[in-house]
Amino acid sequence: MPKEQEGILVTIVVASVFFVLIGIFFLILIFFFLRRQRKYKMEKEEMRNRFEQTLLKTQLEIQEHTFNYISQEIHDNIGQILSLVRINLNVLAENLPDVHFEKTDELLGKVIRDLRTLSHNLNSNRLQEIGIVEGLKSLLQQLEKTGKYSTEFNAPISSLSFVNKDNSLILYRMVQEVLNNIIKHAQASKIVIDIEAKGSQCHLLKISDNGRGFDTSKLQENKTGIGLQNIFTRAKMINSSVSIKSSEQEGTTIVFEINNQPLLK
Amino acid sequence: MSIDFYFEMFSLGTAIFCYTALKQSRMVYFIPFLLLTVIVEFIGYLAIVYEINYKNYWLYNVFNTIEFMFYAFMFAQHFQLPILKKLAYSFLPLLILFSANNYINLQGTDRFHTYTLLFGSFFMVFFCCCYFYEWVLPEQITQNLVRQPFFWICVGLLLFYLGSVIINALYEYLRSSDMIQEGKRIYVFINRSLNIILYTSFSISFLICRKNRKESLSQL
Repeated sequence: MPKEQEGILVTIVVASVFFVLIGIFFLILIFFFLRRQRKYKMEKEEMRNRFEQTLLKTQLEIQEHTFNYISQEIHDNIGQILSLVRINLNVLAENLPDVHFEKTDELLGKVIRDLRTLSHNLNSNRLQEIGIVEGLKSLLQQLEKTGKYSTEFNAPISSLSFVNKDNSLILYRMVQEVLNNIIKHAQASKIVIDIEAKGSQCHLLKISDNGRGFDTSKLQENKTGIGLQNIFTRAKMINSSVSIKSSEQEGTTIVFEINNQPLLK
Repeated sequence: MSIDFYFEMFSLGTAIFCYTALKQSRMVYFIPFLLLTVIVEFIGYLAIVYEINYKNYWLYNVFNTIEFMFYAFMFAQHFQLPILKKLAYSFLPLLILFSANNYINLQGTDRFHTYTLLFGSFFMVFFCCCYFYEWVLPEQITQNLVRQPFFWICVGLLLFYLGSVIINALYEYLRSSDMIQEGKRIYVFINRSLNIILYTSFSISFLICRKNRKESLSQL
């Protein structure tokens, strides 16, 4: 074969290989571009989540601050005034008929007790003193005292020991929200809280009632109220999951799966 | 049989093996298409063995047109943007017209239709670029391109048609410059190498289809 012809054939092969290499380079370029873009988008998403969490945490801190302030005001101011009113009433008792006095005194006593309870519930410092488990037990005891509910609390001694102060407050508020929902909507007569370990890194907190229950499909249709939405948002903050089991006339069970690695630190 | 034929067979075998996963999408059409490819290649091989070499051009000419139509149809199925879908569909009648014109007026019946091949190759590379363009759009960015079966089909097609464009363009020149034998040798070498890349990409694509299906089932 003449040298010129050989040169043409070699050129064809080299040009073909060159084109294939251009194609490969183009593909690699697209691959890295997309990988970088995806990473950038994920980082942006993560930043947004962090920002939302910080915002939520700030909101909760402001809320707790307000609660503490109201709690102090009830305890130190309104409570004191009411006690003073009660003493004054006792002084005036000589001029009043016994029946009216006793009834008024009894009502005043109830108001002072209720305000004390409200003050305790709002005060987060108290929860930090007694711990989450005792706090939850105390919530049930208060319900029991109303005479409308019978309650049961089952928890091993070491329950929720891994939950830090901030997260135990969030968890406490979540349980408060659930109990409020039971009082408002469930028409229940019995409330049970169970805490059980699911391995060493995870605890399950179950709140069940024997109330009228509800159709859980409404949860999937986003027809939940603010209370439940708050529960879901707070659960996300402490890296917990919430599952709700309920059917009409068969009560409701809400289960919080609390993990040992909270997102919020 | 040449080595690329075994790669074609392997690709068909992989497609049949992954049938359950492929039937969930349009990728299932690759099974009859690959079957046809293998049959055509086999007939082509028999034509060489029985020394009727010059009479098998018509077979490849017809098959190439069908091949381009099939790929264009697959592109149309996978494009998201309506304008690209329309473009892919409008390529089909255009190709038939071009091919018919080439048959009647240009390269006739007893020659290899390199013009049709070049025309189709250009559009295939263009469609591959369009497919990649769709993937760099912001709404698609969250998905992993490498996990898309059709991405691997595009990889194979892009490399195949980019690599074969020079030899196809110069095929007529080689014929006319007394280099028919050497030209053929180079043509076969380049095409075999590119066929291996093409059918390996196809096989990867089918296996990814299967993997994706398995993963989606395990998530249920």
